[in-house]
Amino acid sequence: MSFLFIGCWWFTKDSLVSFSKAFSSKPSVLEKSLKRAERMKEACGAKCVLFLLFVQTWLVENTGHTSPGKPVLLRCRSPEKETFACWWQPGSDGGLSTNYSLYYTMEGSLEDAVHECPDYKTAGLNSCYFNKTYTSLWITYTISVVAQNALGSKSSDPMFVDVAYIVQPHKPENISAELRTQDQKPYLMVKWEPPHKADTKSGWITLHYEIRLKAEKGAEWESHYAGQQKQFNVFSLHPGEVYLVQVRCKPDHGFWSEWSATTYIEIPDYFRPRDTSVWILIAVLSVCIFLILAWTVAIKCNSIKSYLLPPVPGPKIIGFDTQLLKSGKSEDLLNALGCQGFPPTSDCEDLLVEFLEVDDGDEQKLVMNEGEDDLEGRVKSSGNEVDNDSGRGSCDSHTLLLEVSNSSTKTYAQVGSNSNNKGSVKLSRKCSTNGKLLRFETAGEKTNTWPTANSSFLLARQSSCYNISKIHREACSLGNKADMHGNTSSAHKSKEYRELHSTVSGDQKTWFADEKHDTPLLPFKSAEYVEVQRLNQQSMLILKPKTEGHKSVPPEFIGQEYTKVSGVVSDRVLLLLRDTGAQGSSDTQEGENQAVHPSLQCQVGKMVGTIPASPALEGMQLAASGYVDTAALLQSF
Amino acid sequence: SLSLSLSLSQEKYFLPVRNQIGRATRKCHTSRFPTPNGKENAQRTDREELTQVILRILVSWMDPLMQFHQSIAHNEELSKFSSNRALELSDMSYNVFSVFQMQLVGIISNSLNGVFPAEESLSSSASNEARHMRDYELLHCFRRDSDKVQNYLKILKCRIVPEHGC
Repeated sequence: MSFLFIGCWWFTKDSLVSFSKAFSSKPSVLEKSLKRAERMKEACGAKCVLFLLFVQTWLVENTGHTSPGKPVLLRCRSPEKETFACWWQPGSDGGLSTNYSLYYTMEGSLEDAVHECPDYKTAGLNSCYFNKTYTSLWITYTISVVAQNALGSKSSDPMFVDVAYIVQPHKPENISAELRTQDQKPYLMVKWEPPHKADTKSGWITLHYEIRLKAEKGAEWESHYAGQQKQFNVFSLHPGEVYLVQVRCKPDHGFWSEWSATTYIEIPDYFRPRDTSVWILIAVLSVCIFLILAWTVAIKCNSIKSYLLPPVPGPKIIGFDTQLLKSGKSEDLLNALGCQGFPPTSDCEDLLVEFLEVDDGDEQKLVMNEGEDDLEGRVKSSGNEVDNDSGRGSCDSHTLLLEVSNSSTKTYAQVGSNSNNKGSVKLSRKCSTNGKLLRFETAGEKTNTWPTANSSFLLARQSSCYNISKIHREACSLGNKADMHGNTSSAHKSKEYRELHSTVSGDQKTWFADEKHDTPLLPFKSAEYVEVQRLNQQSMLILKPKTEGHKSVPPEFIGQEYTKVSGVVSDRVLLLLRDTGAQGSSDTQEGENQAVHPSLQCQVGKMVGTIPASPALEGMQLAASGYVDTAALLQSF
Repeated sequence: SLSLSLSLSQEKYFLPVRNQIGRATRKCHTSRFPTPNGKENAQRTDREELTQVILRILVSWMDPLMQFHQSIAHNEELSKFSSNRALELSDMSYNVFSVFQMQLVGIISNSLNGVFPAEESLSSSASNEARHMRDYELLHCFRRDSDKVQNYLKILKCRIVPEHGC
């Protein structure tokens, strides 16, 4: 390119010389020649320029190399106010290998002393690092970078640097966030350390800090200026969230550092005082409701009890009105039952069947069933009703509640023993009329009562039951005896009864109460039935207690144990009814009364009598276990 | 007591000057005497010497500041064109700095038994030189020197009373 320029210049020069020679002879010619020279010079210059340009572009297109582009100094930074580094941005390299060099001058030193960068490596690519030796504070550095390649060099714009004002520290370190509570409100105490290279201990650098935090799900950071302290308390927290915490620092004259590493802290949920009061309110309300419920239950205790635990209904006999029975109006009672003309109005006493019963006063409830004829009777003891002691003697006050179930053919009362604490054996008398039911009500411990109906009944038939009390007393005495052996087992009771029975029989030899043979259906029976054993020679109906040998009874006779006595004729004859349920059978018997012990119960007394041996008697099929039901003996009394 | 008063003065009176990359075409008049310009240098300097350096800087600025304030106040052109900010700055700087200067000089001279043989000559020559400086140069030099003094004072404070925020 210079060659071309030289050539152009030479060309111009020659033309100028020629022109000057031409105009040297005459002045006017000289003026003309000068003018022409000027014009030619101009034309030549323009042409030269154009020529040069053409050549240059030709050269560039063919080779692609130029001088380097202008580099740019980006920034200079000092991390701890003791060293610093500068970075630049290189320009285009012009296609050739370009190297960059940094030159600087210092204010304090000689103005012409240009120094080159001592370290190109430490700070990275395109950088210059000044260590402690080369760093002076409060002095202005003039720094520039020169890019140089084969074709040329280019220097950047200078940058004036005072190291004291380009400090940008590293991030703060060791950030810890701790949750604390103050007045039941949580707050975050954030602590950190200055970057380890910044010397704040000696006071060389003074750092100011800034903290920012954000909920994990939040969108914006919340910044707080912390001054020169190394801890900060944050109060604006939402419990139950995870928070991100960051810290940065800045010297008093300098740049902010980068944000530190994020510290995560979780704020646990906590009961706000408002929630506590809500819980207290709920507790108070529940206590009130509980009290109201308890009061309601206390008031309505009984009805609730009956609702939750319905009482077991007792057996109900259709048409049988207990109230009527209590009232003692036997006619109404029986009418209600549907029995017309029963009992026989002539003499009710005929139908009176009595049997002596021994009830065990131990603490047992005895349920007796007349299982043989599929009769069921339940004994119910109710302690609620109080009966007057009209029939018993000085015995215990327990009475029995007898509930007699109706049977189709026979009637007999069943005896159950009431539970009584005294454990005395009682003898209770049962009076039953044929086809009628008697109910004996039990009383509590205190009173010794007979049911009024019974008593009235008995009174009506006084003649037949005159010895009740006496017998009762005897029985009671016997019962007391038995009491000594008192126990709760039914077998023992059977023994007692047997004993009782035996003693009685020893005296009477006619009739005595005996225990009934235990049927499988009943655990214990205190009902005693008299058996017609046989007819002895004196035509006496011997009634024996039913023994254990009941089993030997042929089954067909079981149902025929009982025979009704339809009537007594002339005080000597027992009219026995056949076991067909029909009244007024032809079988009759005669019995004598003389053999009857007056102390015995009326029934017994009446029953025993001379019985003429007659074929009719055999027809009666009075087995050993025959039972005579002296339902018709009333007349004789 | 000296350190405490020093620290208090430092925090209260020194100006927070904006960060500027100044173009230093001329040296500041205070660069005449050596001052520690690095951490090691500063820490190597003992307390008394450092205190003297501080004092020297402060004293050398007394006259130039006064002149500067006067020139700004009386310069009508400047008051027209420049904003009131420059006036405020110069007023404030002069007032505060001078007050502080007086106090500090008094304190330090008392502690050093008032031995400043070279101060008067320094101040006079310095003030002459400062008269020729342009305004922006003066401000730049002033800002730098005040930062330097503040740094020295901090070093002194952390050396004497280390537990207060060092």
